[in-house]
Amino acid sequence: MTSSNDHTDDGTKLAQDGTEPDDTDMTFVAQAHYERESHRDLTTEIIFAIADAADVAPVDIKDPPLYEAVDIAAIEDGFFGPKVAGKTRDSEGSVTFRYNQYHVEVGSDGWITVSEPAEYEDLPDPE
Amino acid sequence: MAGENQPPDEWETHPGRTTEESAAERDLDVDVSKSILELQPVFEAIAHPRRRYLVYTLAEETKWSLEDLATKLAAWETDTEEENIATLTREEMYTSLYHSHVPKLVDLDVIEFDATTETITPGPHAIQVLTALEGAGGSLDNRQEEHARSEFDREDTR
Repeated sequence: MTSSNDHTDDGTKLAQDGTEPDDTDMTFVAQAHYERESHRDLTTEIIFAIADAADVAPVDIKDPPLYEAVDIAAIEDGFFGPKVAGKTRDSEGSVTFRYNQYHVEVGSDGWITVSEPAEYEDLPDPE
Repeated sequence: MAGENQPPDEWETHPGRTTEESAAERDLDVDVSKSILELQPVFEAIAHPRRRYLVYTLAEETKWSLEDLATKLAAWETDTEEENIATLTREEMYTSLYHSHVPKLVDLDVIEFDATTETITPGPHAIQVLTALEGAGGSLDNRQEEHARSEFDREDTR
């Protein structure tokens, strides 16, 4: 059922429609903390968190390689990079990206949060 | 002033190649920019210590399963015997390689990766990168080179 409230008088869609996919209810599934001195690199920490969310072994998370989904090197440089000429270049904030059905948020504080749209909760596991 | 003691120019001792040389000279601008461009994958490939290790292993063996490679690199990095590498450590290395360093090196044409068999083989740029690693020598990670060299020596005595 469509509501006329979704549209302005001249027929253009309201701005809120444009953000639709992100507005669906997200359920928190897993969390991990990345330490820059850790022997686990950011890529590994993220995949381990996704594996935790999916309840499978990390080595079974294959498709796609995280490299294909997001530029982890850029996030690592921006948030956790080495000092340049004695000055930190650490940014503050967070980056969110999609990995299959999961939304992964990496914060500059090192927290990695994995959530999935609520609609996925009740779906049976794919055969 | 060029005296008789000067070493002969390489090209002059191979007169048959002078035509190639002048062709190369005519194309000098193109050749220079090309060679600089070709260095980019080299720098990117060796920018991370884990990728340097990976490329070193290709000098030893030209075909690796990702599983074996993960075990070997974990052993090198932690200075531990391969049989003592914990499953978790190997899985962490495997994940790091699979999701980050392997696709990066594939992008740079340094390695080729068969996703079905999870096998790594050298790519078109592997030689360039290996040469750069050998040339850079001691300025890289010393321990890393030591590991790699001790493996080569063992190969030699077989």
